[in-house]
Order: sequence, then C-alpha cells, then structure tokens
Amino acid sequence: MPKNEKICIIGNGGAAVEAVKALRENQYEGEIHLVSDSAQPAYNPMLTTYYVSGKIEFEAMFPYGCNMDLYEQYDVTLHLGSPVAGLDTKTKAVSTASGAVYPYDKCLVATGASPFLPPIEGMDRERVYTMRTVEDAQKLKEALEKKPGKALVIGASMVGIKVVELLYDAGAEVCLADMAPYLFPLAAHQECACVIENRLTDKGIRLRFGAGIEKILEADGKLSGYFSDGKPPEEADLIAVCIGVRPNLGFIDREQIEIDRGILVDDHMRTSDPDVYAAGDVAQGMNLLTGKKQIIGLWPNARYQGRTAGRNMAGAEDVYSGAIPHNITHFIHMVFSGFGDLTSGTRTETEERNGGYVQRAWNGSNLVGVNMLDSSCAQIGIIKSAVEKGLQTGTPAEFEQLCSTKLRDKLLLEHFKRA
Amino acid sequence: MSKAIYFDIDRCIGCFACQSACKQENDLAPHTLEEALSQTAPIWRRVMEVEQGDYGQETVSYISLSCMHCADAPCVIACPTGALSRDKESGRVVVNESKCIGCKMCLQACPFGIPQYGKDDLMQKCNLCLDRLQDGEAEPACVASCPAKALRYGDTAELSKKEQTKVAARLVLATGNKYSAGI
Repeated sequence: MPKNEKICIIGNGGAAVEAVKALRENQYEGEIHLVSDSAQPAYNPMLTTYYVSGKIEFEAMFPYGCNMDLYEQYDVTLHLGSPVAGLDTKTKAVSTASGAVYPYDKCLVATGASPFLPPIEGMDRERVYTMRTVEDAQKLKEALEKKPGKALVIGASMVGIKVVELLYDAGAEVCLADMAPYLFPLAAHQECACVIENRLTDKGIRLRFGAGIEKILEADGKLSGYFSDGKPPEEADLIAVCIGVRPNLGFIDREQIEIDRGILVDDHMRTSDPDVYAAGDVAQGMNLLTGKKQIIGLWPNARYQGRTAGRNMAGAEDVYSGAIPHNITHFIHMVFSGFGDLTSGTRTETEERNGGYVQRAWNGSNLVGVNMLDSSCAQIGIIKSAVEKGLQTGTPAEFEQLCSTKLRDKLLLEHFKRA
Repeated sequence: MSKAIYFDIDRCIGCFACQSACKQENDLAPHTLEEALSQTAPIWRRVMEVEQGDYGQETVSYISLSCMHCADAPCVIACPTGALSRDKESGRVVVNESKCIGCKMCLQACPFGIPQYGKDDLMQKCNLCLDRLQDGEAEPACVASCPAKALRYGDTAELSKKEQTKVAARLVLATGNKYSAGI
C-alpha cells in the first residue's frame, strides 16, 4: 500500500481504535486522520454507570488508557473537538463544522450512537438526564450527590436498570416506566421479565409499564412526567431517559451512502460506497439469527467490526460474518444474562435449579434464545458460541443436545477427539 | 517464546491429578458439593467425564480442560475495561484484577466456559502458572503432575505441522475466526 495514502476515521470509540490498531498491525504506512466531536481518548459507554456508582475511577472509563499515548504509538493525526458536518464521496473528503476539509482515499465512519430523546415538551429541562457519555456520567454523579428524594427512569433497558440501581442505592424512591408491557422487552421473555419485576417491586421500586411519556412539566421545584395512559403524572426530583440510542449519521448524504436504521455494511464492513466503511453502533451489520441486517450495539461487536474494517482498509482481507444480540448485566443483587430472540420462536421452556431461573426459546428444533437469571450463568458462553457457530457454518449442531447437561461434554469432545 | 499446554484425550486416564495440582499451586479451596453443582467456587482446571456410544457399546473418555489461551481470544475483545489481554510474547491470556469490574462479559464470550469468579466477584482463571515458571520450574503444575503424559507443555513453534494444524482447527472451531493460531 502506498505511503502517501490517506485514511480518515470519523469517531473515536472502540470501533475506531480497533480499526487504527488493525491498520498498523497490517503494515498500513500511510496517514491516519481521526476526526471526532469528543476531545477525550476513546471511552466505553458501558462503563459510565460503574463510574457513577463509585465502583471505578474516572480514568477507568477509558479502556485504552486515559491519555493520548495509544494514538501517538500508532501514529494517528488527531482532529478532536471537531464535529463532522459532511462526508462527500464524490470529492472524497470529510468536512467539519468549523470548515476544515480532510481528503481521504478510504474513510471509516465509526461515530457511534446517542441517546434517543422523544420529541416532546420538557426533554430539555435541567434535571432530565441521559446516560451515554463521560459528561452524562459526571452530571448524574453530581445530581446523585444532592440526594434526590424521588426519581423517574424512563426506559426499562439495560442502561435503564443500571440507572435504577444507582438511584436506589442513593436512597431515592424510584419509579421505572416503559412503553413496553414488560422489562427488557428486547432481551427477555415476558415470564422471565415478570420474575425480575416482582423482585424489583419487593425492593420498593415502582413499575409503570405500557404507557409512553408525553410531556415533562416543572412546577414548585418538582418535575412531573405525564404518560399516555392518562393516569396521574409521576412526580420526581430527577428524570433519567434511557429509552435507547440512535446512530450518529446526520452528516451522511443518503443519496451517496445507503442507510436503513444505520449505515448498511457487508461482511467486510464496506458500505454501498466501496471506499467508505462503517463499524460500531452506527453500522447495521448482520444479525446471524435473523439473517437480516440490524444495529447490534455491543462493545465486542463494535470492536470486531472496527478491526475487520481496519484489516480490509489495509488490504488484508478479513470477514466478520455478524453477531447475535446478547447481554449480561447485574443489578440489585441479580444477574441477568440473555442472547438471541425470546419472542418469535415456536415454544419456550423454563427450568429452575440451584436457585437459578433459565428460559429457552426454540424455533422448531433450533435454539434461538436463552434467558438466565441468578444461575451461575456458567454455560451461557458455551451455548451462545455453539449457536453462533451453527449459524455461521450453516450446519446447526444437534440442537436438541443444547439443553441437556451433555452439551458441554459433547462440544468439548469434538474439540479434542483425534483428527 | 509462545508456549501452550496440549491435551491428548487418548492418553487421559481421568485420575484428576491435574485438577488437584492446579488447586494446590494456585491456592484454590476445595469445592463443597453445593459449590460444585452451582459452579460458584473457582476452579481453573477441570476434569470431565464424557460417555459416548449407544446402550451396550458405551465408552468413557476424560477431558482435562483449562483456559485455551486462544490466539484470538473472544474474552479479550469482550472485556469492556481492558482487564483481559493477551501477551504476544508468551501467548498467555491474562486478567488484570485491578481493572476487572466483575461484569461477566468474558463468561458470555468464552466458548469453553472458563472464566471463574471468586468471593470478590472478580474474574480469575489459568495463567499458565506464571509465578511457578518465573520461580524456575519447567512446566505448569498440571503438566508436571500428569502420570499419563496426556498433558504436555511445549513451544508452539516446535510442534509438528500436523499437530499445529490439529490445534489450529480446534481453535478455529472454538473462536470461529480464521485468525486464530496465526494461520
């Protein structure tokens, strides 16, 4: 690859850093320009709640180091604190809001996602918080130090439940609301969600499901959240909106690059423009389970995608076939782990053992989703890997075996038996 | 120099010496029955019994399993804090406990169910007897204790081509990635 080549990376998260590493580790010697609105080193949004709780220090939110050493080591030209305003595939240039223009030979869009705020009255009020960025974390941490008496969390998501825990631990009276009829609507089966909901209710956390937020008013120093069910509003000193995130792609010209919910990418992380790649929470890659493209906003997925993009941009061909949605989280003395799709299969089964709750969803003879609550979750990785592998190779292993205790033994035997 | 432990299923007699030696070497307490069932007490190397074949024709094999120190380890990618890393020189996948937050992302990523969590909720696992080898011993405790030579500790570069292919095939199977084992 010629030394005078220019690569421009937009964004500065896990996907961007993995791309940088992959470029240099695959002998790319040209220029790397990294343009980002953030002025900080790459951080991991998942760690923000850990910082607010005091479990980790501020510096620990930056998994690649809380300094610029890594960028120096990989010879990256940084343009931080400069939001990108446009990407023109005709002139092959990235332009920033401040008027700078960076030409590229290849470009990676790794701009991530931002919290979704519904377009309703009151979302811009001072005590309405989101949880995504380092700044969000700092603001919520300060707010918790003021000991809010009552708090409302909107969005029973993976982030929402962690924020509920933060507020609960800070001694606040907490209400968790969601438009969906039950907790973790994307990750949990309703029955498993119900088990969690009962435990939350026992802790004094109020749940208000099945109604969307319509407006947030403020009077006499109190916020009030009004919902679509018309019932009395929810009063609070603090409101956190954790409905979900939307990809940051406002600067993309839809005529030039194909977009669905996110930027559509192939298994090389290439977009509809052959010189533009996308990775991370902005990219819509393959969901192995459905065979359809979907944004799967997970840290490992972002890193794999970024690395694949970097390798391909460096000319070392690499393929990332996709992922299946998965989560593991703990909150208020519970551990919840799940992967796949719990709602659209043909049947589910539940099992309670050793104090744990396990639910599996099947589509015919294929395992398509698992929820585990409070069990040691010891087999979750083995099962998830087996399902992924079956989907990747198009040869699902004997899925009837997956639920039996023979699973681990059988799979391991295949690894070790004589060739 | 990158080294690894190799396991030969045809030589293993299921004596559990490696499992005991590992626990002694790494100061891991014995399991109670309850802890064994719920898998809540750390164990870095585990021997498992596997039955195969149909009724009347069963055979029993044993598998001694510990961290595979995958060349492209899914746990390293999944770790949100950078607590897990792979040392390219030695080939070890190691956990930095001061960075671990006990989130169990690694448990969901590992195809072998290796990550273990102690009473402090932090992840722990086999580190290829880092301390022991630094003290001058030639082999990890499990390998040294194996009477059947089913476990072998060796330089990856010294393996025969056939063995390398076999090992790589296992890792590819495990991680689903052709970059495993550097081939």
